[in-house]
Amino acid sequence: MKITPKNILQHELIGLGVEVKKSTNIYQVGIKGIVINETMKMLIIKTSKGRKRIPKEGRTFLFILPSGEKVLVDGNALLGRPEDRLKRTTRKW
Amino acid sequence: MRGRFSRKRYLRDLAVQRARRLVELSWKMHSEDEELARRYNLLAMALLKRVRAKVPRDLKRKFCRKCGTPLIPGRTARVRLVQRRFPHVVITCLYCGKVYRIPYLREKKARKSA
Repeated sequence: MKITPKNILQHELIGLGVEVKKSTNIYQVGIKGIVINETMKMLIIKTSKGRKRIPKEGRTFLFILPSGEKVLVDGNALLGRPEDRLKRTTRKW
Repeated sequence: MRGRFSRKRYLRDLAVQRARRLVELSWKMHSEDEELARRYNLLAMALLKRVRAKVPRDLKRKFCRKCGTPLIPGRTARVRLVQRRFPHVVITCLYCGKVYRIPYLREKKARKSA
């Protein structure tokens, strides 16, 4: 099964291209790279300037899927451990 | 309840796909960051356990299910053929020392009779 905008909330984020679109911290806006690790509340992004730890909460991310599609995702919807995200049902997106 | 059943299947399929991606990434990542490579595989295991899916056959030999190290023959794993007791392949994880034995007695018998 491919990663599509529909199932991205349940799918694997590690390995996807990502860009921080909105953040309460203006220095985080525009950070671009590849997701290399995911914890309950953070995404760890590998950029040209090293690894950056970005909290998921309150941020908006732009993911680039392997198919080349781009999806805007509310970071609050990604909160939770990666294996818990798999079974989440109620989604309003 | 057909709906529930298909949802279960859907989640299993999703988990297996995610695990496949993670194991693949882990092999690529191993030369760069071993700790992270291990994390990917353990995450893949966690996903499969969550939906009670089996580890797919092709992935069984690709990573150590105890410590998560990708089993690369010659680098992180020792692969030996042993005839004693019963013919089997022995794969040893060089990081944690876990031993996997895969018998091939059946294959050998089939060959003899043929």
